[in-house]
Amino acid sequence: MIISEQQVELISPNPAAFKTGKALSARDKWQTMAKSDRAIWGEIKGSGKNPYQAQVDLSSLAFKCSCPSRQFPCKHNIGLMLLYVSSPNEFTLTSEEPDWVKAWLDKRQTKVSKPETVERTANEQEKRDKAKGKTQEDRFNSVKAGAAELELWLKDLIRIGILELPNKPASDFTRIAARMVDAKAPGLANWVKLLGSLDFSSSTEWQSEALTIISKLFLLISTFNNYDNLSPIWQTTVKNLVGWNQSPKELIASSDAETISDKWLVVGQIVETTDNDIITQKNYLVGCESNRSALILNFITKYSTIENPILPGSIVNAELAFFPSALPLRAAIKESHSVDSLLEQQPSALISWKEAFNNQTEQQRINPWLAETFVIVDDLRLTKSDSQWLAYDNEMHYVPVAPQLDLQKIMKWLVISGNRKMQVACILKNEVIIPLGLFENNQYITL
Amino acid sequence: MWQHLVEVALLGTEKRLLDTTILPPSIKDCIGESAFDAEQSFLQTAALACYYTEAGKEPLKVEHAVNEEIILETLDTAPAVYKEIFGQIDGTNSRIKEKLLSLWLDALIERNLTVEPEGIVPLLSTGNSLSEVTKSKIVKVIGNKGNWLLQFQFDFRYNNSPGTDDTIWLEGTPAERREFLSKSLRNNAEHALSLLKSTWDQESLVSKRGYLDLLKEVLHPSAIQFALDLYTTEFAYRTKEKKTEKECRKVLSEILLSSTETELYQKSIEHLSSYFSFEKKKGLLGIVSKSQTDYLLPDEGDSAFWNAENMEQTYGFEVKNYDISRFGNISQYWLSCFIECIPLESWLNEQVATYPALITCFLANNRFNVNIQGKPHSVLFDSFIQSIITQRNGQMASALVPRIPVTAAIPMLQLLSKDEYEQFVQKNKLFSDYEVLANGPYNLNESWSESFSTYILSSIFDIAIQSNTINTNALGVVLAQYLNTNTAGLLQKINEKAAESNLYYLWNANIYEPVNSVLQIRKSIKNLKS
Repeated sequence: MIISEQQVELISPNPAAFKTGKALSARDKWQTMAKSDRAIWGEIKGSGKNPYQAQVDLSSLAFKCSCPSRQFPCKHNIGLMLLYVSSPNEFTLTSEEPDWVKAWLDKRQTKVSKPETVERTANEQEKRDKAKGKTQEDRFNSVKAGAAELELWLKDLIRIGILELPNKPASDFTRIAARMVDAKAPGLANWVKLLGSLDFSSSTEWQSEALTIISKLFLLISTFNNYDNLSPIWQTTVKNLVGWNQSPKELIASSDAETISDKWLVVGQIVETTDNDIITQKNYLVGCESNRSALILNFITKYSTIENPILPGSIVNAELAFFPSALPLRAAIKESHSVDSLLEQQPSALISWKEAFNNQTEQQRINPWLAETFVIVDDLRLTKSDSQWLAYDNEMHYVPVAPQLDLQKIMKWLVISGNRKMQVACILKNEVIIPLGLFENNQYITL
Repeated sequence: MWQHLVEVALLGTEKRLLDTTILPPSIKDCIGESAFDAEQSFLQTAALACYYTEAGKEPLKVEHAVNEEIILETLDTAPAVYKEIFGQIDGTNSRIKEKLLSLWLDALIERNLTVEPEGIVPLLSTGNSLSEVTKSKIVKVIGNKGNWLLQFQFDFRYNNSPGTDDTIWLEGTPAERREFLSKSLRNNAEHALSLLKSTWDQESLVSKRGYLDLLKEVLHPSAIQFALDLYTTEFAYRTKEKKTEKECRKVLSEILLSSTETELYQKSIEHLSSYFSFEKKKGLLGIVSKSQTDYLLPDEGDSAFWNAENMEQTYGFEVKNYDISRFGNISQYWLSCFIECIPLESWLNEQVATYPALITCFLANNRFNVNIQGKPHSVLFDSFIQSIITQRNGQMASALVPRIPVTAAIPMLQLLSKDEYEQFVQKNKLFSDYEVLANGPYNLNESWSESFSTYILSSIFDIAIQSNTINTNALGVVLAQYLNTNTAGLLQKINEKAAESNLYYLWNANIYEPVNSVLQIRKSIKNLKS
């Protein structure tokens, strides 16, 4: 796999780690370095007696280092990858991996190909299913009570009038959101937080936004109240929207899950931090042959790191399993065969914003609570109107670029395009776009 | 429809009823009559209307004229090896980065190459905080696309980006305007002066004072006439004047005294010469004669020239509030003011024909000494040094540096020739003095001579072995900056020696690693050129 410096920067745990790693990417810092068809590795002098042994599994992007750092990947892994980016020919190609590399890679391969299964007796399984059923029932009742309480709150709000919203202290929203979390409905809590986070100082914009949120939330509660009459797929969808967790491990183990094997282009990655310090890494993928969109979520806390990092701009030759949903988008990697960087086949693109808007409407028809859609649109250019950047198509229709977007991304788009029309991958959300990358000459360039 | 729903929601269903007649039939049909209450009915309607509205939305059309000109490059793009080296440069210490970047940019410019499009933004970001000289080189290698990018209002400060054009002078904050003027005076003094003149009348007195300081700092010949105009009109002496107005006059007189062409300079020299005489009581600088008795400046003043009234009205000098901890009397203060701004060669004459003689006469004269902490100190010392620095008087610096303490000489080291500097360091064994080594007369692209580099490197290693320590990594940084690349072999040899000592860890971390990595980059850049 060919990786770029930008990709290494993206998977670095923080800018400081990347900078330190960069300082370790000079050739003379490494005592040994080599590569095989599945990994790169090297030895570097550290503060200890023995050199640190750093290794990177290139086929499924995994890292290991003998240093005591808790960062992941550590600065030595970052340095090794950057050295590989700048001077791949300095790495001796060998088919004989040293023991410390071979042992790790073999162990990983076994782990990937044979997921751990626990064998239980029929009795144990029955007990387990019973306990699980009881827990599910308790939770369902708890959520139902929470939803009823929230519905009442919304109705009160509408009866009194939402003109009162700006006068409400932030603690009111926090309290209601906390109640929903207690009722095991974090999905509902997020809607309340969203309502409380509106900019009430804006003249009138908040009014329409508030009614939109309230309306969609009410529809979700109503749908949940109608749970028993829903089809199984809709029952699952609504439960997920309300806050039931989805386990990637269970999904991968399940034989019923919808799976698609393809060369998946990782078009972009967006990292969001929630108020309880959980970092959500959203990886957007698109199948080069199937043209299916997929979203892989990674969650990171202060005490954990990403188990399976995904490199934006790379092409993962893998089988993805999709979580069941009315509109299946969220997925997990069931089996990864290799990671590549050459785009042999380009996913198809929409020809205009009009088509993208229609596509969004179609997706919302299937799942009305869809917060964002991923699109690839042809022939886009940037223009500036006052202080706002607009991406416009051949028909001169435009969608504004998200104002909070890092300006470096806009600059990169401008210099790469040189004002040419480009095929752009982006997220369409709240009537603005978050550009993720550009397609050019069978190459994908992440922004 | 949606607006009506918003209005109902704002006031509440208690106060305002939903008018269902305005709803489209498709929504009306969906609502039915299942709602328990007005709120539920409203929320159901709002949910449907919300999706109805969203589904019908169309993208807006661009109303303004757009630029569709495609930006093409006229120069070749640099090979990938340039990008690799830039990556290595970007990871170096900030004090070394500019030197390496400058060398790298020169290599690109020499071969008429531009950086690849993806490298433009990182390069512009890295160069944003660097000197104007480096920025001008960057502008040359970013190609048409990079220069096109600078036309947009991003946070870059490059000469051809709109952020640095005259709008900053017209609309910027006081700090931005000051920075702009400072840069403009150095790059295009005539244009800067025309801007300054165009808004002069609207400026506050305090701002004017600040701008005059900048004019004095840059001392461009084209500023003389402007200074003269202000000196004779706006800041000419008035009985009732503000303190800042007097300060402005002082700055203006200093500007005028710095030019031998001005009337103020010529008249001042004529008057001053009468106070300095030699054996025959003639000549300009009696003060510098071998006999100190020839110094005729009165301590308190006289009626002709050397008096408070004249000093205040003509030159804006202080007449009371001078620094009594530095000067023994008011005369000494006034003389130091003249020395600071009048070109030093003006003080030379037949009797005091050389710079060393001038130094002796000014700085070794007991009449100008005060005792500070029990040691004699010339009250003219600071003004003398300031004058050398402002006028960039290399000859005077060469004469003075060997005669004063090293710490005082540091600001003047850049005025020495390279040979003088290297000899000075070797003679005084200053090989481990970081400040001395960091302030030599070398521009960004220059290095120490090979012999001097060898001397410094060997001496630092020897002293480190003797004292068994290296206290700082600052030496490593300065060595990395100036060491001649031909000494890379010596560095390796010394490193092998260091590996056998207890000092290896410190040597490796503070000297070898930083120096070697930079030398490697410099070598790579050198190879690009060959």
